[in-house]
Amino acid sequence: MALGVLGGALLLVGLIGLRVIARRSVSLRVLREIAAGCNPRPLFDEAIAARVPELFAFGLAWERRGCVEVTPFGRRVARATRWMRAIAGVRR
Amino acid sequence: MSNLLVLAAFALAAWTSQLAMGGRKVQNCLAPVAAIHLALLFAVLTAFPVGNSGELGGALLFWNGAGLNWFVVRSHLESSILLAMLLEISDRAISREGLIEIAHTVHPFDRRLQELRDAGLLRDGDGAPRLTRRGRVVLVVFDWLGAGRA
Repeated sequence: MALGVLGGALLLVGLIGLRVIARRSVSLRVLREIAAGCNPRPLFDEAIAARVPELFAFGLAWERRGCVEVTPFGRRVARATRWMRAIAGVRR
Repeated sequence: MSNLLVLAAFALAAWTSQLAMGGRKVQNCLAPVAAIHLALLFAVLTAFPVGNSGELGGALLFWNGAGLNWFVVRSHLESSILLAMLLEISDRAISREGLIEIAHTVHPFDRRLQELRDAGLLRDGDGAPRLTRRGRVVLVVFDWLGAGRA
């Protein structure tokens, strides 16, 4: 019973994660552009540039003296990301 | 069948999948990963038959939920440009332009296209990339999942 409840919760979180991927993934946007017969390069460049304001919007970074700096919250997220990458064996 | 056994078996499946992937991206290894998970799940269910259908349902629900989360987190850790940028600025301040340049170096466009080819989602045709059948299916599924996107 407990495992079923935990599984249901995990399934729900996983589906939300998939939806986030569906809405934000650069690779999927590239695929959509190619499917539409367009050159995906400008969209790719635009998507990368759009990530910088997102760092500010999510509270992960701020801009000081013309430079992008990590916030304390961003530093914690970065540390957690490094740990998770190491555990998952993800290379850069 | 104890809950702990299912948890341990899933952890073993995740760890074995990681070894089988050997540094490749999860989108390029979905078939072997699914095979590993199915084999371990089948082995556990065979060795320790479940008492009732509720217990079996719980085990299957957990395995699917945990597997889906594993895929989502792993995919994000591998491909997120936002996280790559965050890691770059975590120990030094960089200008906007410099950060964008670094992101292009860490996640170059050509490599992204190659990864999509390796995953069987793109093929080269008439000098330009074209979607494969699998690519079209993936796009339809994710368009449905992300329905209502801005």
